[in-house]
Amino acid sequence: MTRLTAAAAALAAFVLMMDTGSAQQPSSMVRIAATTSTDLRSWDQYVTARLRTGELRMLRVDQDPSLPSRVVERMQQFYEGVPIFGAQIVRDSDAGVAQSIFGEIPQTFSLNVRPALDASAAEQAIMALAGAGARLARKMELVILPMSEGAPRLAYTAVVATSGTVFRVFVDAQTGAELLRYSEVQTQSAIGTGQGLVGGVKKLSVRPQGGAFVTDDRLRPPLLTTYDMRGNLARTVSVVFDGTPLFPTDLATDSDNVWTDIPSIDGHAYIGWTYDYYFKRHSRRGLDNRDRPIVTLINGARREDGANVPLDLFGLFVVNAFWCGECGPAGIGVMYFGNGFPANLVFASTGQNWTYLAGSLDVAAHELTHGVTESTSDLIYMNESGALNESFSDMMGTAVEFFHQTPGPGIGQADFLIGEDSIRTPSGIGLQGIRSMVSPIAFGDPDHYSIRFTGSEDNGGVHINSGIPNHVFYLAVAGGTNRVSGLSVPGVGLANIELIEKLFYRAFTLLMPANSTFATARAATIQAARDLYPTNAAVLNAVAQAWTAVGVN
Amino acid sequence: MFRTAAAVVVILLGVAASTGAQTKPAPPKPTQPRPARPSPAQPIDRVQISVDGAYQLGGDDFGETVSFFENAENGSFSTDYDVKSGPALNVSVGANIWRNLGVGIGVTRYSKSTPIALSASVPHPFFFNRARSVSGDITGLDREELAVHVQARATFLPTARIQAIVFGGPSFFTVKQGIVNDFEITETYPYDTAAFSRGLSTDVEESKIGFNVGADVGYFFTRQVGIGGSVQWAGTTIDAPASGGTGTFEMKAGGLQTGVGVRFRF
Repeated sequence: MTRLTAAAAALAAFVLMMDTGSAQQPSSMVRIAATTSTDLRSWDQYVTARLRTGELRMLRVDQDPSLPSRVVERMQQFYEGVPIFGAQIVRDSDAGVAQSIFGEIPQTFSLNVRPALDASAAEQAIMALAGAGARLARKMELVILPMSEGAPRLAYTAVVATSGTVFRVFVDAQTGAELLRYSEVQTQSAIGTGQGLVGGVKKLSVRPQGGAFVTDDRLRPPLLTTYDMRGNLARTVSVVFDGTPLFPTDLATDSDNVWTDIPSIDGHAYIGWTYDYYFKRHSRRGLDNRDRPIVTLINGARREDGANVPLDLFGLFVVNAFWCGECGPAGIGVMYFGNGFPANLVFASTGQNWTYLAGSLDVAAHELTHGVTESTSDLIYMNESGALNESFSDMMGTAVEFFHQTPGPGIGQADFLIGEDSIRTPSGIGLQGIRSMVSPIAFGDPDHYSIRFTGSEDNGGVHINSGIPNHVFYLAVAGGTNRVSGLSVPGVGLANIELIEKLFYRAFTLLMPANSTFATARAATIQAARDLYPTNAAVLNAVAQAWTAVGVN
Repeated sequence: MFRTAAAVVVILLGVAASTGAQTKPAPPKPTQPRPARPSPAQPIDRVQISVDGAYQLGGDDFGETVSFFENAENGSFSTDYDVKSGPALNVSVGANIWRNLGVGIGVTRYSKSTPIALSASVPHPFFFNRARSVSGDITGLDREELAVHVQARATFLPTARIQAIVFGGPSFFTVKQGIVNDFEITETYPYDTAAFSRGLSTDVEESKIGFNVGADVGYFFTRQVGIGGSVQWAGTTIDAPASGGTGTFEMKAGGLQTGVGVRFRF
């Protein structure tokens, strides 16, 4: 590149400071790179004068947090009221004194800015170029397009989405002929849609990649990515336990952004919804409160293959979902959702079929809450502290349901069952889900401390004894009578579930030690109620009486 | 509309013609010579010119609603354009072609900025049916109107110093209006709210025929130079291309104009 720097001759510098350009750079463009006092003086005058005449218009004024005294102005160049595409000048000033000016603007030219085509005709021309099924993703705009060869052209431009790609196209405003097109997919986030297991069509925050869309959420603060293991169980196991690398090509993908793979839809959406819940309800930024990335794995085993998975892997990768904070590549931590097994099969013991676990919002939130616990109280995963760990995940899983879904007993509604959207009897009669906070005993779990599990299975009954604090949460919210003690609890009411959520969150993430017992949990939650609601005795009473009702004093 | 305009013109001409036919020149009074007063032998001057600084009263406000597809859901924005009163320049030239009846041509130019109020419903990126409401004001967009009026005219001289003209006819409007065709918002996670950032605009230029009707009164200090005032209504309705790319929306051009300025006659 050849740079001929400007003389100090005021605005005449416009034609003196130029760059011959590269292959991608229209040769008629002038490159501004003013950093010396002489250049800055010339270009500063140029900018100021053009701002007065309207040939430059301010696009944006930014401040750099790292340099508070600096003001960065971004200006768009216009020609007779029409913006020149991409022609911008950026001036960085310190207390009004320009420190640098950069820009790419066309050399002097003359152009008729009255288009022969009206907007409707131009849109028709663009749609004809884009092909069937295309739609305008952004509004059409009349611009002046600097050309790589020859004079700038008056053009209509629009961003067009077709199945599989998004591109910007320019057509000549006089003839309708295509002047330029390029893909926009590398620079966009996108919103896809898909019908998940339950609950209607959901939006997905995804990213265009290679002419398709992938489950990479660029809109939420942390890195939320969902990888499709495409039924390769051996590789899934290797990724989870051996840290085998994942690649961008492993991301779940869809060609037209109307998604059909249920685990991709629900897994990706519900991880985001859970992050949203913690952010909005508890001002928490993800699992570690520092926006730790969440890597989710789906389709470790296809649902149709579920019954054929070896038993040593069946329990973990087919009829399970889990969060493992130390697993995955470089120990980044992974969230995994099993897909269950074919619809024509049921467990003989319960009569239930297990389908996509990613399709249950409370399951997703339950598992991610293990990540929250891990980075806060880190409740030891055995015996009573382990049961509390499990219970807190159930509480938050339920809370996320009530935050995002309509309360009710139906599929896709918020309730006090766990996993009821994915684990169901084919007839819909009988037990749905795997646990109940209303009636833990319905699933064989204790609802009173006096009948707690004292064996060594299940790490000392972490998934069993969780029924006791689960029932406390339910009683504190909705009120009711404990089946064993017969004690009644005046709950705060479903409309006030937020009060109970917050105090349990405070107790379980801040106040409780890692080896907490149920008695510690009682004391901590009562203290949290005092801390948060010192003038609301109803909340304190609800919590205290709920623990008393289940026999924890 | 054209039938209405034609009817107005015909009525005006009819009134003017009958008024002209009833004109009976007063007998000369030798004892009171008044040179400036027209006599039966002195016809009305054939050419009249008026140059007015005028004021166009605010026209009908207009607006449009545009639908767009964002975040996998339909959104919309509405713009309301406040067409302000403002100064205009009005120049007309007329010539009598038969007795006091004649034809004329006038030009009116009006330019004024048009404040715009925008309100929008922007879909949420994560959830259906949770659109964010956004509103903002946009300034700096202009309206420029240029109207050429073809007039049938009738001229009266109640006294030697006073000249009255009534006129009407078709008007040819060209309107250039800055139109908001898109807008930008600022939003941050969790995106439950959004704030208006700026409007994006383009100029729409359309032409349409309307009509004009009005009256002009002049007071002449000399035989050929005077001052005067005029009241004119000239307008039309223009269908402009909608910002969404399909369809049109209506905007009014012109309106009631009052002006004062200089008068010439030859």
